[in-house]
Amino acid sequence: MKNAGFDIQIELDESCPDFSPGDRLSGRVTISAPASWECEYADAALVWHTEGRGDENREAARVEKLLEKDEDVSPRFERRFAFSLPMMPWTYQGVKLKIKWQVGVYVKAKGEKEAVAEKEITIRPSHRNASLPQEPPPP
Amino acid sequence: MTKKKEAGPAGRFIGGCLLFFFGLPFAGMGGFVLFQGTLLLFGRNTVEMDGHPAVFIIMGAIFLVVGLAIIWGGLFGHKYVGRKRPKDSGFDDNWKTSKFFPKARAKRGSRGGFLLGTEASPFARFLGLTFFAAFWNGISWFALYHVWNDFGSSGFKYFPIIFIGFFCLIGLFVIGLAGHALLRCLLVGGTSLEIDRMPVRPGDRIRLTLRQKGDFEITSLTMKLICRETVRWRVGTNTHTSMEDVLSEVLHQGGNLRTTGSTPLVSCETSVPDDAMHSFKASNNQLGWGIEVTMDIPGRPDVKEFFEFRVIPESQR
Repeated sequence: MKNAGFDIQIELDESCPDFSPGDRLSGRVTISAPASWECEYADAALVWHTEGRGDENREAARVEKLLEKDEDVSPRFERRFAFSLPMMPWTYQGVKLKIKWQVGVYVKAKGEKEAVAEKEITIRPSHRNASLPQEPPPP
Repeated sequence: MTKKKEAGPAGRFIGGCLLFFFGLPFAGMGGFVLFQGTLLLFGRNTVEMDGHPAVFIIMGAIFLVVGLAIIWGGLFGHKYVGRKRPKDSGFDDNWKTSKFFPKARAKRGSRGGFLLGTEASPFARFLGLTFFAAFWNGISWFALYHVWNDFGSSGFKYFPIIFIGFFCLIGLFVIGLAGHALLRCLLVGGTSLEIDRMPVRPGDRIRLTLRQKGDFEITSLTMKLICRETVRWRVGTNTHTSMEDVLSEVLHQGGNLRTTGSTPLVSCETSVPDDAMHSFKASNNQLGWGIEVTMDIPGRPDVKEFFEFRVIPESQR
């Protein structure tokens, strides 16, 4: 994903993005930055948010710093991250409410816009995949 | 389902500006009338005003508050969440203390279980409606009384009478609702539902016992296990709420029952589905589990109550 001059790639160690509550999620982020930049922040976060008719609720459950402020790095660098997944809320596909999880990487250079890359994952007990309430077919 | 089209930052900014400029004349006019009404009270008004000062003060204050609320909605009502870096907010992993679960009232029932609570008891509903009816009618009828009194001195004015009369009609409707709530308290009494365990995990079997105070006939009674999504969204200063029952399972349907107060009206068992989603509560989005009880009672207000219980993530019990 290219934005604000950054190219951010998120790779999870697990090939399947379906996880159970309490699992460990780890991965690697590769960031290609502009030639010269001063880091304001670079974080990896595990974020849940709602989608649907209601106004959005959104919260970070885990946040891990990838770089310290003003830390010097080469224009292309890699960092590893690891999170223990929370017990709730589970990923949910309802009719008017959906709860989704994602791993997000947020990078900001001083005086520039924030660059964002996100990768969606699911967190729910493994035996539930097939029988969550289904959205009705469109009229 | 019709998906709500999300406004982007530009749309939200334009919407906010429109609301802001829509609220300005309301607040300006309200403030001016309030100010002049106050001066009129002391005989120092700078513009010619025909009427009782209290009318101008009350109407001015109402318009000022409404105008300021609209301006506030324009400035802060369109909160843009976007895809910005969320802050680490001290996420709580424990369901016992997590904000995702509504606080459960845990009064013990006579069978050793737990009495489930409703959003508001019939008496609390009556008190709330009575307070609101007194407030609303106090203002609107007071204003109508003074406008009506000006009939002799300044000639009959249709517009103020019709305008304030509309608010008085709403006040009468609220009195009707309060009266209905009072009748519900006096003629029907409390409905209680006991559950044998709390909290509940997906797949758990639960036993329910329904009791109804009083001594009367019930034409029909229905108990349903409900899983309900509730979502809220704001447009300007208005908050809209929408609900969807994603699961509705009839547990008991019967008629021609008689309450005796002491003996249970209905006892039944059911299971929360094994693939159920746990309860979830956030400021704009909720998923709740509960039992909906409806009773048709001849000659008395009918009963419709939703008794909520918590379903927790299974591995945390």
